[in-house]
Amino acid sequence: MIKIKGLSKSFIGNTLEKMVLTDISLNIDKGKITGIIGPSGVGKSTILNIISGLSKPNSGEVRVNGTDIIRLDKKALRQFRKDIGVVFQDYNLLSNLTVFKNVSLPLKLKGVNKEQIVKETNRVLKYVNLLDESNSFPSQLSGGMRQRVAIARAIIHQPKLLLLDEITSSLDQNTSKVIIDLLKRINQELNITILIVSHDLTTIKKLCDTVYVLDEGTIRACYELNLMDENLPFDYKRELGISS
Amino acid sequence: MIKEFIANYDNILSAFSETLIMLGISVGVGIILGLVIGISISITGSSGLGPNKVVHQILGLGVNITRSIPFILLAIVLIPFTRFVIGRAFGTYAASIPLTIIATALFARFTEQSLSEVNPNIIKSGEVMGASKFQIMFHFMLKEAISSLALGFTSGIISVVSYSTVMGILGGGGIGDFAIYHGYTSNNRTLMFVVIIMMVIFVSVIQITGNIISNQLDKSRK
Repeated sequence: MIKIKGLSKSFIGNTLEKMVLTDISLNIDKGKITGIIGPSGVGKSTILNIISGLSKPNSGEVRVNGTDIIRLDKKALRQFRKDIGVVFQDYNLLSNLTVFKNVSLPLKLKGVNKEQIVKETNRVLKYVNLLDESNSFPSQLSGGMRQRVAIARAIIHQPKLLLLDEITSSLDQNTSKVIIDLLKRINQELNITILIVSHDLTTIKKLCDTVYVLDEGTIRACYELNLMDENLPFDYKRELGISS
Repeated sequence: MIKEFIANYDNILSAFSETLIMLGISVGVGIILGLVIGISISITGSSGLGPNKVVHQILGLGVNITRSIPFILLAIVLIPFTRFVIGRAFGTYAASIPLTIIATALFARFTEQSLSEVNPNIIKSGEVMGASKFQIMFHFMLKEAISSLALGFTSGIISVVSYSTVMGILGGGGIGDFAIYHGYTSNNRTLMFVVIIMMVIFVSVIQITGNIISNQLDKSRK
C-alpha cells in the first residue's frame, strides 16, 4: 500500500543543518499493522508528518497505491488527506467542542449532510464505546477516553490508512490495553491499514504485524512480530530498559 | 449626590443614550472590521496559513499607526473623512466615525493576539483532515480562540467607552462630555462624581458580562 524509498529529511537549526532521516526505505502492506519503533527524537514522527503531507522531505518518494504523494499539488494533497486518518500524540482535540462535534468534524469538512453526520457520528461513537459521552467536552474525559475520541475522529470518514503517533505513551497499562484492542478491531473489522510509531515496545509487540526499528534517522532492522524480541539490537534494548 | 442625580436625570439619560449610540455603532462595526483585519493579519503572518509579507506588514502598520495617534488628534485628522462618509463632521453620529476607526484597530489587534495563542497542533490536525485554509480558520482556530476573543473584545469595548468620553470635541455629546461640561467646567463637582460613579458601574457591568461570556465559552477547563 505504501512504499517509502530513499527518504531523507533535515532541519535547519540556528546555524547547523541536522539530518533527521537518512535514506529511509520501508513498505507498509495493505490491511496490516506496521510499527516503527525507536527512542525519542530519532525521526519517527517526522515520517508520519511526511506521509500525511505536513512536511516535505529533502529527497525520496512516498508512494501510496502507486501515487507519489510528495509531488502532489495542494488540491490533490487535500484530497489524499481525506483518505487517511491521523491520531496525534496529544490528541489535538478541540477543547471548546463536544465529543460529538469533535468526532463529526471530518464529515462536516467534507460537506456531508446533517442527517448523515448524526447517523455516522453516533455509529462511530458507539463503536469506540463513547456514545454516552457525546455531549461531554474533552476536558471532562480521562486520557483513555480522549484517545478514543481522537481515534473515532480519525476513522469516521472511513480512511484507508490510519497513522498513529505514540498513542499509548501517556496511558496506564489497562487503558493502553483497551486502546490496543480497539485498534486491532479497527484493523480487522474495518480493514484499515495502520502505521504506528512508538517508543513503547509493549504496544508495538501487542499490535503490529511488522516492525521497523529506527535509530539515528536510519532503519536498523525490520522484524516480523514473533521474531522481534530476540533480535532487537542491543543498544536499542538498553534504550528501552529491556534486560539483554 | 442622589439629589443631584434626580435633578439632572433627564440630561444624564440623554447623554447616556448618546454614549450608547456612539458605542453601538463603533463597537458593532469595529468588531466586524476588526475580525476581518485581525484574521487577515494572522493568516498572512510568517507562520500563518497563507504567509504574505507585504499584506501582513501593511495591515500591521495600519493598526499600529491608528493606535499610536493620540485619539483626540485622530478624531480631528479624520474630520474630512467623517464629512465624506456621513456628510457632516459634528454630532453624535459623526463622532462614531473616529470611534469606529480606533475600535477596528483595537479589535483587529485583539483578534490577531487571540489567534496567535491557538495551539499549532490544532491547525495541524485541520490540515491532515484535508481542511481548506478557510475551514481551518473558521472550524478550528476561531473556535479555539473564542473565549480569548471574548475577553479581548471586552477590554476593547471598555477602551472605546473611555475614548467616547472626549467626543465632545466633535459635538458628539455623551456621558463623558456631560460630566466635563456640566460637572467640571460648571464647577459642579458633585454632578461630576455622579457621572464618574455611573461610568464605573457601566464599565464594571461590561467587564463582568465579558468575563461571564468568556467563561461560558471556555470549555478547556473542567
